[in-house]
Amino acid sequence: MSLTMSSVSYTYGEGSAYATQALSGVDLEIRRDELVLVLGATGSGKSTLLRVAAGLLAPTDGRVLLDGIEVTGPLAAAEPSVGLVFQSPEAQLFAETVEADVGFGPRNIGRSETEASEAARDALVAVGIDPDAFGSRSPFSLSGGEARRVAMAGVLAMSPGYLLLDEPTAGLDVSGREAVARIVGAARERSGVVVVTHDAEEFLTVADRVVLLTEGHLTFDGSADALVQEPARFVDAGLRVPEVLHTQVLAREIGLEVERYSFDPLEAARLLADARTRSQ
Amino acid sequence: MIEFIDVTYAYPAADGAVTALGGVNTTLSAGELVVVLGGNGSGKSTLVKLTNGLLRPLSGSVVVDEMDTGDAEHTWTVRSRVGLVFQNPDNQIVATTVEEDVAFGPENLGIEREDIKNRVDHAISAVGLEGLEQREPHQLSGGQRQRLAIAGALALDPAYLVLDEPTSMLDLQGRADVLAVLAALRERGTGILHVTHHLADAALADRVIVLSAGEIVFEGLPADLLGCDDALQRLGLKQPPIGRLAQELRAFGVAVPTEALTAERVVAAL
Repeated sequence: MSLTMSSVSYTYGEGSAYATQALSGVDLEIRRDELVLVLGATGSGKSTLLRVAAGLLAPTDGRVLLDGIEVTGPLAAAEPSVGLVFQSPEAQLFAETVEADVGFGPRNIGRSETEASEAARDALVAVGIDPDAFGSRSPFSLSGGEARRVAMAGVLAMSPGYLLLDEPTAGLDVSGREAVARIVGAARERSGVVVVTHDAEEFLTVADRVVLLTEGHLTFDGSADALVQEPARFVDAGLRVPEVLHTQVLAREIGLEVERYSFDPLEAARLLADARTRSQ
Repeated sequence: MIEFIDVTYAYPAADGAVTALGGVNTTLSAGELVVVLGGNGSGKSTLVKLTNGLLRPLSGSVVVDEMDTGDAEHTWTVRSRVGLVFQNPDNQIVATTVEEDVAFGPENLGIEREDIKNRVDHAISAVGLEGLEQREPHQLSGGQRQRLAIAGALALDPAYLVLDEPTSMLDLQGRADVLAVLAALRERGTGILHVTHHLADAALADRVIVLSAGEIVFEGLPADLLGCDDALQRLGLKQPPIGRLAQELRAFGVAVPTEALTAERVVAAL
């Protein structure tokens, strides 16, 4: 079971004077049980990738396969298979109560009242929002972090096989970011998860795989550990090297023999301390 | 100087008023960079809107260069002294080219054409967007768009710049570029109040304020806050990954200063 993109290209305004190619020949497979982190600079095609994967945009070229079945263009199926959480999704909360907002999706696709309200409850619990305390409140009375989680619950209530998230932690404070990172980590139990983010350090430790997009091309697909062994890849992709990794790169530059690179701050400290001891 | 004197503020709510700030006293001087940290709902954004009279205190007063923001006759002078920049650059950009966008503020104030040209050139160079004057804002990266929003505020020649999470929607490079602009403006004498979620941003400040539930729970030097894990935890803050690396290095006997929260500064201690 996988969501597969095969030689996918996408061009905005194709055929016009303003044509801009956002994706070029991308091959990517997301399995049901894995969390894939997508990194890339602004304008690298990250958000386009999510829109094509979710069926909101039909690829200009290439194919998108959902569990082996080709899907082109908007998904009309009653069973929603791919859930997309946009950047700042709380801006889309609209119903009078939290319960009605989260239950809107299942009701809209014709689930029974019992099924829909149960799905809404489960989804709220999954994002750490107590349905009894918050269910009857207005979505507009929530804090930023609560609203973000309620908006995520609206997508989870549709039980998507694949969950795609665009910058899920942007603009949240420490506790909000931690809560969202936990929800995203847990979602992998039920869905294939794709996270597009600037906050590489936040998700490197939980990602099964990391994918790097550079000007619409997929330039890396592998483990987080394999990626950090090659810091130049961040630079080539127009990204700043994460600070913990940058520290180790600079340490090598001043002549310390750092054995290997790590994205984990505690392991990195041990590697740096060892290298320092050896040089003394 | 901007002075907050016993400032309280509350928003109306269905079941009575919700206190956003409860008795805040602090100052911002010319050439000073003050970082304000705090969680969602701590009163940070209310503090920002009080600095130039966008909101007026429920009690107490906010005084900008000896003008009370509550005093209607000073409203426009105060607003020209204190420039505000918000989280999302796209909500702050109005024109179709970079140059026109920066010129919008001064044009609106009826400033002489030649003076506008000077101000625009000056503001664009202060944020490092030279050469992009004729670009359409949507062609810029997020970091460039936020620097454009800052240039729009600078074109009004403010003495103070107050920024509400200006980097939270930017990638690491965009963040670094905006922080570099703030440091350069400070050198030129602008007073800067930078509200942020990022603890690492505090390392660059002259002074750090931590807000919690509308009150100042810490005010002091970055080193005093960043070095103290207990204090951070109590204040609901958390070391960034580079801070955890530095802390672990200290446990290995490496003398990394507590305010060293960049790769360069950590490596200098090795």
